[in-house]
Amino acid sequence: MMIQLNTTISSLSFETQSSQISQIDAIESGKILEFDLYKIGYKVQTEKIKIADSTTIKFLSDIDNDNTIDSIRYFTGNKSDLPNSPNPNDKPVYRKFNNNQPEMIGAATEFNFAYFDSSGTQLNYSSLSNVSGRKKIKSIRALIRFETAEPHNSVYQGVDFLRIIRPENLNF
Amino acid sequence: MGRAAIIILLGGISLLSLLSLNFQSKTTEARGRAVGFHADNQSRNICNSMIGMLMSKLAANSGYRVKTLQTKNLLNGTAVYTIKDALLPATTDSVIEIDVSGIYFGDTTNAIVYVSEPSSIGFVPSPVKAAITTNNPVETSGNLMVDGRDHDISGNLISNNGTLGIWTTSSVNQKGNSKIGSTNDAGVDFAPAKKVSGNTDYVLDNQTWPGGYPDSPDKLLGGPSEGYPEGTLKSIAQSGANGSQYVSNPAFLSFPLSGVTYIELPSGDDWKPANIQGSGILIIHNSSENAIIKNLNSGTFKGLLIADDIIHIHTTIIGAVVGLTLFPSSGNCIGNGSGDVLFSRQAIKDATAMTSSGSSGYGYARQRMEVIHWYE
Repeated sequence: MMIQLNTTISSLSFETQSSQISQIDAIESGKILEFDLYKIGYKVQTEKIKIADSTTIKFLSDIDNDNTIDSIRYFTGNKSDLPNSPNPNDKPVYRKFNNNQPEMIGAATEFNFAYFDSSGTQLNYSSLSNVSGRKKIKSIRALIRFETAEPHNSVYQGVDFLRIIRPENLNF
Repeated sequence: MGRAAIIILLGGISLLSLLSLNFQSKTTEARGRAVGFHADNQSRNICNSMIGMLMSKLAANSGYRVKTLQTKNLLNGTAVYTIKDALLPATTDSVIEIDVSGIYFGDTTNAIVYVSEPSSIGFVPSPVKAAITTNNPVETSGNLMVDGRDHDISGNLISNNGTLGIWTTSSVNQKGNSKIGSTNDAGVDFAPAKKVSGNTDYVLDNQTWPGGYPDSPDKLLGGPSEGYPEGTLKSIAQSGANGSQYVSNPAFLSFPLSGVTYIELPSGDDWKPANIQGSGILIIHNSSENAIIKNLNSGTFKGLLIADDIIHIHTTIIGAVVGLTLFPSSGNCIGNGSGDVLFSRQAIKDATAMTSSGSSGYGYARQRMEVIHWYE
């Protein structure tokens, strides 16, 4: 009985610990993403979003409010970029600032953007390949799923970061 | 055996306690993150709500500024804000900068919003031809000052942008110590002076109005062709938009006046003495064109005052005054004490903007701000 109790407690402890790590990943990466997305188009007079597809977004903004327009791009890398993660679905999420080297902001199993027009209708990704289509974007849904690197009972504990962001500078 | 069981039991309890503490610690941390996330959202809500409120206030009163930090309790948190004139960064464009911090449970969201004044929405109606425009003889006396030079919303002079002091279809009789100032057609300012009746740089008298002088406030704002069919202003007043009021008895007015204040007095009745504290469009009118406002003794009014019959302005009006009746009731004396009528394009624009049929932009009010940049 004691052994079973000990096993159960250890198992729960592992799950809690893993879940906590995923939560921290989700919140920290989510905050970085949010910080940037809210500023899309700040002080930009021309095209504000350069790339908008399901796993990549590239936009312009004076992100640090220094009167210089910056370019920011979010995208995912390959599984092979994370050789130490046993989770087969893990991919690195990168943030590229201007021409700097991309920085990894987290490892996610799902990283997805959806785009909506002023009436809240989701825009087809195919329509976003041209400037006029991207000009219709008024809000962006970001979904990031973080899972533990190690499975427990064959299950990877996960946390979703799901946020619909309405960058003010896209709306006037 | 008994001793071994006790040791195992105590060991188990110790292990359980440790793990329990660990669980509790993790749960507390998770709760902390949830609270932090909520606080983050809530501080953003406070920040954005405050910006919306300030823009509405600014749209209703373009002179509204808050140069020192102000604090307002909002949505169970706090908003700290300023509104000041600024140059758009890296340009020479004049804008208004709104800085707001939303604070909730130790979390702060900051935002800077640059807006421009909604000057394109408001307008100066073409029948407003002077600081005082009437369809009847005008007499000024006492220390009344009628200044057709342009002024800002606070009454500060703006050079070379004004209009005449008085325009009338009848005569102008300037008496006592009363003074009239103006900007003539060439844009030259003339400081208020005595004895300028008949000087066309200051006043125009005995004028004719093609098609007939407007006999209603709606016609004064342009009539149906400009979006003001008969009854429009009364309808706005009755709607309560922007603090608008409609009364037939001035005793029921709330102050300060704002939006469209429409006082439809019974035939021949007067409102006296009148406190006109407030802004917007103030109308004293009835279908017989004999509603009287008399002894305007208190309150500063900023905007457009339209009345059938105006007698004795003894307070300050920043904007313009228009009299409608052809037959004033009391000796044509529009002022015989200490009063100022300071023409102000901005005050008139602010007033008329509230009557326009909606607009795009930010804010909750009828008149809205144009947002240029928003840094959050």
